[in-house]
Amino acid sequence: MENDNQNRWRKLKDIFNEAVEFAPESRAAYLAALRLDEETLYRELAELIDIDREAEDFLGEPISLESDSFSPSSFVGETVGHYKIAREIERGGMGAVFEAVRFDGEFEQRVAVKLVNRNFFSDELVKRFKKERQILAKLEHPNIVRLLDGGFTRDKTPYYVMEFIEGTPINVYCRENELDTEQRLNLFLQVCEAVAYAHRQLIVHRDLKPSNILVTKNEQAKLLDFGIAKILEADTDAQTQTQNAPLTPAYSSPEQIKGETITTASDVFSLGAILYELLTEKSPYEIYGVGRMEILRGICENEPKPPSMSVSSKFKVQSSKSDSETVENDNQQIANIEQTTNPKSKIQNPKSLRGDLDNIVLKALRKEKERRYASVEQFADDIKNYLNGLPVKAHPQSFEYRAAKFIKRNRLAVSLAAIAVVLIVGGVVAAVWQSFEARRHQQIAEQRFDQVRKIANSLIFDYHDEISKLEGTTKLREKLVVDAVNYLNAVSQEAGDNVELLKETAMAYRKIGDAQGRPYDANLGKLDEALISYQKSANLLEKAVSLAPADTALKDELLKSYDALAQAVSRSGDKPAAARIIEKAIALGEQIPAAEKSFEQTLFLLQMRVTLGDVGENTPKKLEVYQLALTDAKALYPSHEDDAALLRLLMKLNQRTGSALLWFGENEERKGNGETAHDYYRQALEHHRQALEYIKVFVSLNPHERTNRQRMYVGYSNVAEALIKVRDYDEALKNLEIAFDMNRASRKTDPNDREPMLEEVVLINNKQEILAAQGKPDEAFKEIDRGIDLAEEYYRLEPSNIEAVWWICRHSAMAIKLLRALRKEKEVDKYQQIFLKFEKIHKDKSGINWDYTS
Amino acid sequence: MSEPEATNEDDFLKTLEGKDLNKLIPEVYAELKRLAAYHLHNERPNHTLRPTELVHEVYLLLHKQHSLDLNDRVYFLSIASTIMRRVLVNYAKWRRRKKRGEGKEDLPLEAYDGNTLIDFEQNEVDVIALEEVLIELANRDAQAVKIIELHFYGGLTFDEIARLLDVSLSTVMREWRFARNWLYKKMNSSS
Repeated sequence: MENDNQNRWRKLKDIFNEAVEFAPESRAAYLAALRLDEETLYRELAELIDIDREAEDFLGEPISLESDSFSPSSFVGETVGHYKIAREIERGGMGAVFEAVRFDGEFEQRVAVKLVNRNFFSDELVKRFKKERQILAKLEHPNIVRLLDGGFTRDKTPYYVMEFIEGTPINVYCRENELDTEQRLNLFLQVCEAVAYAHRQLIVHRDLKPSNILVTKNEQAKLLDFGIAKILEADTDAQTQTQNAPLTPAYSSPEQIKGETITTASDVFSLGAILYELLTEKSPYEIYGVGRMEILRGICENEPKPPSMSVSSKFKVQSSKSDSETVENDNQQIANIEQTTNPKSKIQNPKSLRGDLDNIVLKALRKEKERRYASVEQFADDIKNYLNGLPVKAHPQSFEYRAAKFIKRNRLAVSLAAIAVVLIVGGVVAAVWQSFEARRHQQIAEQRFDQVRKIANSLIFDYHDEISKLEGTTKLREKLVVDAVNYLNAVSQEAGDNVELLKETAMAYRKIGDAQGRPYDANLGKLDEALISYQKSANLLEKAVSLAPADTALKDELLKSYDALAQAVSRSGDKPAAARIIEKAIALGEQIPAAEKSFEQTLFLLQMRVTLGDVGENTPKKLEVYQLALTDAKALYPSHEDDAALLRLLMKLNQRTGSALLWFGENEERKGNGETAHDYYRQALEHHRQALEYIKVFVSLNPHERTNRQRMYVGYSNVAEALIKVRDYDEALKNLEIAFDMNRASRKTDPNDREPMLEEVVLINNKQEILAAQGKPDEAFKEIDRGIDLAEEYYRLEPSNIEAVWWICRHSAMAIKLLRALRKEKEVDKYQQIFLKFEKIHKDKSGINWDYTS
Repeated sequence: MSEPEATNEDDFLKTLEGKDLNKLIPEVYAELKRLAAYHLHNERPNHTLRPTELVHEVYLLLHKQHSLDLNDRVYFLSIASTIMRRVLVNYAKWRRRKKRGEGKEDLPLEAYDGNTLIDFEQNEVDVIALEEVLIELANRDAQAVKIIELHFYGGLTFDEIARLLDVSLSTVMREWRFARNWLYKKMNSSS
């Protein structure tokens, strides 16, 4: 049987292979001529031959996967804002872009609408989305696509509306229109203008590539997709500093691939890679290698060939598939690609590229960002020099450069050099400033000063960040920070009444303060010095605010400095002093007229009031701070129902108020004022219920937040706790059970996380209290035993955690109390032993006696 | 020849045969799974994942660690493509389960684990259905399965496959074409 099957299979294969040697139309005839006696064999063969054409591409491309995309077709025909969606243009994992038409306008306006995939709808994304909107709104340039509108659709999908661009990617445009070198350079200069403009707004694009640059019929270049752009000045936010791997590695700079600090120099590199491609028609894949790994390594390590040498070897082009008859041919073509030339592309004359253009492109593509053009303007200027026949600034790599590269191997030396640079520049700044003072109204001197100062600032901070990545550089960093402080001290002395300079210096002090006060950096964690820097920052800004009281942005900066100062002071342990600073900040915030206050500012101030409550003692004043802040936060709610930050604030404020009220209630109860206590408890319950409502709203709007379950858990257990206090045991039990369920789910999701285990012990305690109060001692004992078992298990797993021991004591003490009340003295002994054993452990480990409040 | 339908991973790993690279197999498996998981679960807009690149990435990684020579490369890719097939089929099954689970909207808290789903590219082959017919083909023609696997899951060119199996390119192409048509027919008739 086995053999028969094998024979039949071989026969099938052999006849098939012979048949397909014939032209398609003769294959049936060949098969018929064989006069096969087995009908099924014949039919199977006929079918296999018949589908040969249809199956041609089957499995031909190795498998690939892509991000899940939502179904954008469902949007076609719908309206978003004032726009009716006509068709889909493009889609990807993040969302889709549509063509749409404004329907309420006087004239028909075509726009592009970008809808963000709701699958990705998370706080992080909404933040990114808002940021892109903010970034685009800042940019108004003929070569940058315009943002027209944006918001959330009825079902809360974020969208924005952009100018509709009908165009072709720049590389395709150049090839299809057979532009010559000069035309290509002129087109490229438009791109440079747009990027330089963005840089002047302190925005780095970070994802420049030909597909993001469209060229319209009138040969106007349009830059798109500031999706991952970064505002340089917003750098203080720790979250924006984490670098993600580049989305499009091919045009990324080495520092981007290595996850290092990204600056405007990164865009210079990407522009260099684009210009290389425009001049040679070779993509980075052909320069650095195909495949993700190869290209990543290539960009970081391999020096590209000069464009003139690259263009002289033949172009590689994509083969067109339609003319392939058979798979053999297909494969043959893959092998032949190397030798194919593209008939449509206008081959650049290698001679025209040799020399200056080679140097220009290679200068933009240097691995070390300091060796590239210092700005896009300079890059563009050199191209203009070339076009005008003037000498260009780019030179082949010099001896000096190679020497620098050699020195770079010794990282310590580089760090030292960096410090030298800072010192020198610092000196230059002071000198230029003095000459500026001497010739007060000379604009040129002022501009010069600004330039030098900016370079100095970026040197200090870029180098600091770079150096902090190296091991064993603490001493150097300390020195760098000291130098920076000296430099700032010198500049601030000269600042006088110059508001701009005061502001800038103050911001720099704050940055230095951040570097000094990093709590996780043991060696550099100099809180005292950070305090001084923050204080100076606040002082300078206070002066600036007094000079320009109408400038809201200054007040904004001062608020930030106060916040940083208050946090540092609080960390140093002086809570009353922290409270005084926050009070000052809040008073300042109140000076800003409501009409000028942004929503973010209002939230920031409310957040500060929460901090004010947190640093305060448990006094009625603390409660009042929370309650007043809560009233103000609630007033914002109707107009910002879906704002995640506001919802978080509302949860937090209700929880804090509720907990404070519980604390006051317990206090009153101890004093014997049962009725007052009950009143506090009722209010506390109200707040915890409110908090839970906000949590539910938050979760429904942000269903993908990882900590949602934790949030809900806390909400339900808080409500349960307050219900116990007001003695509504049935309701308490209901809420407790939900908390149990959520906690159990957490334990299941991550068995390695032991936190939920301890949480369960706490929940069990609440439950047994309820059961005891309800007069169900048997059930209560069951819970107590369970609580002790679980706590003991936890203790075995984590003997260092004293909390479990505390809970064993607590559970067994409760059991003893309950048994005595029931007059079951005989059973007390068992729990007494457990209690004594763990009471001793508690004392040995913590040095204090266990008691209910310890 | 490998038989990837083994019931558990240990059995599966045992079925992979090879020279001295054998002892690397568990490591290759772990690396590939880790990398695949990393790429599959990373939220990356407009991102297309090419398993072939993962295979190369793993090779480069192990190449450094174990100083493999160049002859090992093709052999390595052969093992890795079998493993990749396994990883992707498992992923496709997991994904299908997950999609079914998502039908219930009232379970957002439990259903979501923070990962982004990645789909097999549109117009792309149904991996689970392909797996069924591949297993059927393996009973008849193990070499054909290997060729499909090397090209489709491992991204090897036909030249590389010929070198690896030590046969001529035209043999590979003939085997390929027949197996491809057979699988195509099976998949379209059974559905």
